[in-house]
Amino acid sequence: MNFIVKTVTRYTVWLIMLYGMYLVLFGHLNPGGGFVGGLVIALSFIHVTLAFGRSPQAGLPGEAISHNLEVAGAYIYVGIGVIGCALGLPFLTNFLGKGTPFTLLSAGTIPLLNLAITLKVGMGIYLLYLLLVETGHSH
Amino acid sequence: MILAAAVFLVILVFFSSWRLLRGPTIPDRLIAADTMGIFLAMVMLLTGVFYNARLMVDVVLVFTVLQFVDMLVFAKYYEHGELFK
Repeated sequence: MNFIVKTVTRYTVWLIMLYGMYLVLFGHLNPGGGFVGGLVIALSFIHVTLAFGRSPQAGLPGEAISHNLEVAGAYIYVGIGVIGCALGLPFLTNFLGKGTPFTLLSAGTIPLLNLAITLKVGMGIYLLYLLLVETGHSH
Repeated sequence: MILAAAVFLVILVFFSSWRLLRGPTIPDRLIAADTMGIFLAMVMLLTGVFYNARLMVDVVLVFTVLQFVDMLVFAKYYEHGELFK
């Protein structure tokens, strides 16, 4: 797009990504969590793609890498659940310590699960955007 | 006072929706929709201040970020007719 959008993107895209990381990391204390944080991080990717196109200089993942990362997110989620099974507990049991309540390092495995959901949802929505935009061309 | 400001902004949203429905060109409608979104985000923020709900700030930020990128998508599609260019 034009010069104005490119310049604004340089100033806003890292703020959007930082806010997505905040939503993910404080997902067990505030509203937010993996889904919304992943959505906002995917929005920052989409924002760069809109402004600069799919140039290699942008350093954005393509379809194959984002698909692999999405699948990896699902596997990490299931893996954390299976670790609970391996310790003799039910699936997805909180096997880590609970830490101090209402601080960043608390709630056991829930922040790790949030990170896995972020990978899954963020890369999934970015991949969906890429596929829809490339195949939805009707002119 | 805060609620009065919120009600005033809701009235302004109705004015913008008139432009959204009547607007002769597409950019008129796009800017009207953007303005409505900003006003509604401000209404949500003022409501959060009135009810002393600090968590509303996070919701408003997600809303405005989504709306910003949405408007970028609409503007690019209107200008180029496609999104990868």
